[in-house]
Amino acid sequence: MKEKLQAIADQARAEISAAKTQDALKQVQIRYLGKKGAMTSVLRGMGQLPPEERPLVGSLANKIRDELTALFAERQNELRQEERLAQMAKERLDVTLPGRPLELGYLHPLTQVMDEIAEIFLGMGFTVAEGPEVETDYYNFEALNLPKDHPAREMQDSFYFTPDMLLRTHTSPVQVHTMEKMAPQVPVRIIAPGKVYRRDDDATHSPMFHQVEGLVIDHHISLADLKGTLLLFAQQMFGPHQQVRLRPSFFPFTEPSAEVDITCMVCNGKGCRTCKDTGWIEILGSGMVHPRVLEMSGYDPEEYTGFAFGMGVERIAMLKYGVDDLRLFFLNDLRLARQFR
Amino acid sequence: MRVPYTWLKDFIELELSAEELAETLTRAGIEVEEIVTLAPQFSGVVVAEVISIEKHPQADKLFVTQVSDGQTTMTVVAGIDNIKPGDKVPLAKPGAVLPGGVKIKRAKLRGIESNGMLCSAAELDLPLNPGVDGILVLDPETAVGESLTAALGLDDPILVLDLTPNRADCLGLVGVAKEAAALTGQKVQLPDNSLIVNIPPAEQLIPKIRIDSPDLCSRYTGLVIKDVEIALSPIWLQVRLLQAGVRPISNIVDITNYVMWEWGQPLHAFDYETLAEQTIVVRRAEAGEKLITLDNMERSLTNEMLVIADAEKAVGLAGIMGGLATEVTDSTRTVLLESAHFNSVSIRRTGRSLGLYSEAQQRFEKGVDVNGCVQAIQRAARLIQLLGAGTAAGEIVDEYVVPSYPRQIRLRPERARKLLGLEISQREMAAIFERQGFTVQEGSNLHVTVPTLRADLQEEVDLIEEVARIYGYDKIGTSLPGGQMTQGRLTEKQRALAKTRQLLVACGLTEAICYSFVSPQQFDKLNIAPDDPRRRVLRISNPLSDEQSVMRTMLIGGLLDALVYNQNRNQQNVKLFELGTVFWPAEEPLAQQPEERAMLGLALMGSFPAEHWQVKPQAADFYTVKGIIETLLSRLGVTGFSFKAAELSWCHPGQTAEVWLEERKLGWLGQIHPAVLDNYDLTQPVLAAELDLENILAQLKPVVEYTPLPRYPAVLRDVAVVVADEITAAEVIKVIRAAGGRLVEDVTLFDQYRGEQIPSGHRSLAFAVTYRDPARTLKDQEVAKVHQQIEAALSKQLGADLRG
Repeated sequence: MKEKLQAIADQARAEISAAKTQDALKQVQIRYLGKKGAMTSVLRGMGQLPPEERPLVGSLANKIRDELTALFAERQNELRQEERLAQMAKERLDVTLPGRPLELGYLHPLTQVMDEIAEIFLGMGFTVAEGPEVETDYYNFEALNLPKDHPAREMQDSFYFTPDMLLRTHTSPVQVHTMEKMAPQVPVRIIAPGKVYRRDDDATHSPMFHQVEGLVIDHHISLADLKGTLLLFAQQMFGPHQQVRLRPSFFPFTEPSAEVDITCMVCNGKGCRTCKDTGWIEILGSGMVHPRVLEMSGYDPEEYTGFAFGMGVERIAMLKYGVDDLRLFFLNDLRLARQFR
Repeated sequence: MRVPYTWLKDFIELELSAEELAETLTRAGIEVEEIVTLAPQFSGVVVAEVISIEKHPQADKLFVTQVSDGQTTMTVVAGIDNIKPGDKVPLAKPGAVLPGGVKIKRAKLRGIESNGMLCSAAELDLPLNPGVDGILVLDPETAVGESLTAALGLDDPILVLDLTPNRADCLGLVGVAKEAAALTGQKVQLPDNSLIVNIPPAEQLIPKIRIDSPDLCSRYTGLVIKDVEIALSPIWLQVRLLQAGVRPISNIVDITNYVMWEWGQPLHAFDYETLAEQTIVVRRAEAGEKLITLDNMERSLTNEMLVIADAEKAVGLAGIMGGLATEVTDSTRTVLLESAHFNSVSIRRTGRSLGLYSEAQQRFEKGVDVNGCVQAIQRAARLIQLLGAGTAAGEIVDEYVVPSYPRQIRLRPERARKLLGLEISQREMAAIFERQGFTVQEGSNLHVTVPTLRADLQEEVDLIEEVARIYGYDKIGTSLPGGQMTQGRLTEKQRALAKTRQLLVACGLTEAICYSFVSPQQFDKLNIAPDDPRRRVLRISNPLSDEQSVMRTMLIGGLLDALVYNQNRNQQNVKLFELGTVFWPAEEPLAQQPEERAMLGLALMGSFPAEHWQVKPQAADFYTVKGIIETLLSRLGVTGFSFKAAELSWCHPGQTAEVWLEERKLGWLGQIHPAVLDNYDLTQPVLAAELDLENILAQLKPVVEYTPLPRYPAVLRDVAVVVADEITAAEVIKVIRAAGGRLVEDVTLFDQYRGEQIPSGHRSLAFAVTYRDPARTLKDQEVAKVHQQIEAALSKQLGADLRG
């Protein structure tokens, strides 16, 4: 009987390892451990054994059954693994095929630049002010110390609707609106991005373009504060190595007035074609708010001082991205838009 | 303003090179745009002296000359004999290259070897006025042997200034010299221009001058020059005028221009004998008065214009252009020089209305120093005498009716230091003004007397700028504004606009920025009805072109133009949006500013997503743009909006809707009408929408209210109905919700079917209804009961045939 059990066990072990599929293994399992399996039929013959042998044979049979059960489980695991591997081998993909497209759009490069400028100034405690694009002569010129027949009005050839109403030629009228609203409260710290219009049309001028105006009014604001603020801006916008340079200039609404140059970002100040070998790039106009402008809008110039600046967004975008024709920004060419991620 | 460097040095000794001076001026706000020269287009041309000239023995039209370059004498064959021994002439030696690339070689001309070529001004491409068309005869004092370029100063640097409008003082070399003096510490040296007239008073020619319009002419200075001999100006003077950018004509006219360039004061010369009664009257023109100006144009004048008249008639447009009848000509023997001061506004208006823009006019417009009139006329008289062009015939007549005096301005040093954020001593400030020749009284404040030439310095803050400018903006440090802290934050509206942009980009749309002005033809192109309020536009009175002459009242035109642009560049699948302003004019006549409204425009065409091996692109249709709007509005937090079928003249009549929120219209969407597509040459269907952002932003609910997550399961049931086409999906949903009551959590349409088994004019709509009670688990029987109520209602209210 023992020999018979051992023989069955040997054969079962061989068949388990020989089973090539989970189905074949299942059949083997039924043949040996099933209700009509070999082990079962052997054990049914136990009654014919002498009583003293029964425990021994029983114990051996249990041992073998446990062993075989474990072997079946182990082999089944192996086979499952193999089958999975075989299945996955069949599922191999060309991973270089393109993925399913999620088509996102693009923000306009000018919006991106204006957002970046706004973010920098928001971080410095500025808020964003707005004003109308169709302005009266008073806000666009007179309140900015540009009385009628002032020669400086010709610096900005304007689009008129009536002799008193025009498309704003700069964002500076927002300075006046802001001051009128706030006076005599301080501090005033605003930027004002927006569209402006001048009668010009060539590669570096568009009849419509964008500016960002800035205005700070408080007690004791100085030209050094203007310089420091713009230095911080330039370093945030164009990189930590930026320097700023102020050059005297003329704007009727500021005195002293300054053109502001920053280190040429193309050559890092070494001199190149973009900066005409000077190492500097002009990016904005600025100055201390003219006492008459403060006064007209309700601030006592003896008590308060301030600075203002205005920059061309297209110019900054052109410098930042190396675009050479300003009019490109208004063609809305998808091939261009896709470059500004 | 062109500043010839060598000429400038007549007035100031400069240790700086032209480049260094340019840098110094630029850093002080007198921007030097570029440094140029007259850029001669030749090389190898030297100054030679004519030794002899005789006829060529073999040729009637040739001459044989002996010329010396100071070292050797050589034979040169010439084609003209306008020269005589002793004349200095340009000699192009063998090897020389003339303009146009002509190389000069030694050559035999009819048997005589010519060692080069004697050149005319034209052959050298020099716009000098040589009088005759022949060999250029140079000034007698020209150094023989020197290169012509160096001898004439053709390579002298010329600084081209880009002046700000406040610095009219630098429209004369003397003014530039004063600026350079302030910046370098060098002294300005002015030539002695005093005029000595040795004629007994009785024999002097004294013009009668009368100013009738002192508001437009504060000063008029006149001087008569007699024994005038009109001739060509010497070459040196002509070259200087060329450097200045002025065309040389003849001595008297050239000198008026020369002096204007030096002193910034425009001068005019009249033929004295042509003036009726030798009288000058400065007056307003009579309405309709006629004047033929120097350019031979008859001008019809108005009462606004200032003229120079003689006893009878207008003889010149004051400060702008002289008259033809009193012009200096070759036969002129007596000249009246005018040095006057005219009102800049009047000059500008007259110039604009006549379309004139002379150098003199530009200076008067920007402001001329009224106290410089006499110096300029004296300088001109001296130069006329120097050139032998005439002599002063009497004393200067100076009618100075509205005098201007130097201003005294107080400067508080502490105020300057605070405004500039710069530690600078009172003494340093005073020195800055003294270097410019201003008088300074020092006490606890500075009292600075500013000459009238510097009209830009009017008040204290101007002096503060002057301190900073001359001291150097570079020496000012950097600091940050102190004072109270402020919070930098976008407003809710600004954040909502930024979010709108981001959402649309996430929806696959690309942002466009179109011009705010459009063509008035746009409305016809868009098939906008004649009485549509969108046609009420704000018109630009001076547009660049008709194409950009009215302010937009809708965004869609610009977006369609952008689609066409992309289509024509082989971009077929384009989705654009724009956040922009439209302009609604107030009542005519325009008295107040228009209403500016923030709008959102969408326009798309083509199939999306792009061609892909796995996903098939789908052509955009009405539901594409509707889906974008639904997503946008719901993500902005707008709830309860609805879509209603609408008809708009520029849209497909069956594929157009308006978006409503309660009683407020938010905008429209639809497929653009095929006829409009034809007008734009668009070849694919275009879907578009316009939403009024002002209305939308007013509805935003920025705080999202939390709804507890459901604790009990939902039950899903489908219902499919066949309804007549006239019944909209929205109506069906409304009935389902009404009949289902509070247990219906959601109704989603998941299928629409037309075709077999569906009667024509009908369609099958299938909905998934979600039932839920937030407080307990629903029983199947309860749901079944409600579902039956819904089915009954659909059948009863909409005549729906229930399926499956």
